Amino acid sequence: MGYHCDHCGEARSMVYCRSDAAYLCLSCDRIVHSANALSQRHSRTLVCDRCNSQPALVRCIEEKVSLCQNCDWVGHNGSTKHSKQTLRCYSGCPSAVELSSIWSFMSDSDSGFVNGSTCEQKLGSMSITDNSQGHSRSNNNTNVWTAPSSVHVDNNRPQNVDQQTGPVNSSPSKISHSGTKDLEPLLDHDDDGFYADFSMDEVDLSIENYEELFGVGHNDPKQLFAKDGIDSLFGGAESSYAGKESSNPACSNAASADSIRSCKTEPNPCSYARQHSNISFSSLTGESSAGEYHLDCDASSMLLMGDPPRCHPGVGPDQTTTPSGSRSDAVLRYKEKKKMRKFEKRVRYATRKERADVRKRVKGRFVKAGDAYDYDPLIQTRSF
Amino acid sequence: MCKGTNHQHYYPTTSCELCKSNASLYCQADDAFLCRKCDKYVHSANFLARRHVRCMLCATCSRPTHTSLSC
Repeated sequence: MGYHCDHCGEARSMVYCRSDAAYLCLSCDRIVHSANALSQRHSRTLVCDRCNSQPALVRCIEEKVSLCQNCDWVGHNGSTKHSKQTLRCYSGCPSAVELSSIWSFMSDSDSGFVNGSTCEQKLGSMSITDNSQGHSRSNNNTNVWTAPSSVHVDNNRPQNVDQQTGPVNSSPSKISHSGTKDLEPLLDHDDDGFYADFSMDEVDLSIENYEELFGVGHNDPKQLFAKDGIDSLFGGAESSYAGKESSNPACSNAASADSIRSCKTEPNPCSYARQHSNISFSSLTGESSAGEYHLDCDASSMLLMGDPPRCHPGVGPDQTTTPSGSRSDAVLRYKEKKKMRKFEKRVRYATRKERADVRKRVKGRFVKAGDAYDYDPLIQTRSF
Repeated sequence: MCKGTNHQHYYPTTSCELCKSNASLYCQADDAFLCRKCDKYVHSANFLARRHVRCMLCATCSRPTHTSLSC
């Protein structure tokens, strides 16, 4: 929902359909709502320019943006006195011309090259043909757009054609120009079905072309997707690398844990554990990051063992040759780590703490939610 | 809510808006009463229409029930 059209997922959403509760771009809006008679009755409004997540209710004429209620409040709360115009909704399957007539405020007052007279003629002819063909549709349309709510409509009518860099929302006016050009040869067709099909396709094409030209809807998402694609590729490579890395510390932790345990008991198990850990290390020689990892793990395991002279010469071809050299490295590392020790109560994962806090407990122990726990597990249960 | 046993009163049966036969469903999003065939035709058009929740109408009094259509 929100920025992207719900149907195609690519273009920026321009209108919001209340009945469907969906955000659609102009071309998908035409496709979806021309399917059958029921969907043509849906009322659609513009989408807010600021947040792109709610239908727009008013249009601020000074700022030339359509705003939803929230953004209107935020932007105009008491301080500024911009003139606002209530946005109307439309239904049916309006052509680009008709859309631009509702939202005629979109077009700029000063346009570059304006074929004023020809455009008016075309508009006039379009309305005539609309009334003659597709009578049911035109009924819908004329019912919806009877009285414009502001004076701006009449003034801007001849200037609907706007090929220059108007505001971003001038897409309908742009569509109207190309729409009229494309629909002109169709005036001869008297067939209702043909008219509908042609208008839809060609207007769609024009809309898409315009959006590409303007770089509003299509280009940015495309770029974004490209970036995402690259990043995802890169991220994928990175994650695979990171996966290997994470497996190594896990192994090292296991190895060092083994070695710690073994140290506490006896030297014999120590050597066994060391061999065990060495085996696990040698199995990882195939890894790309093997060398450095070997050095660290071996050093830590040997350090914990506490008897460096017995180190295996066959382990880790990349470590320093003399055992004392590796021992001094290990000692340094131990000293560094010693500084970073923290024996206070430390939460490693905040989310796990949150979960643990809400879990049901009996006598300080976690229990399953459904079972009955009204006895002390330490006391032997008496049999009756 | 009628219990379907009251056959004495004749409730007006709503007719489908497209084909004028007896309506058996109500679509809240479209605000329309439909018969089953028209509903199938209308709401299989695109994915937005398929999202609409339709409720069955009571056979006796033709008011929307709480039962929704399971596709």
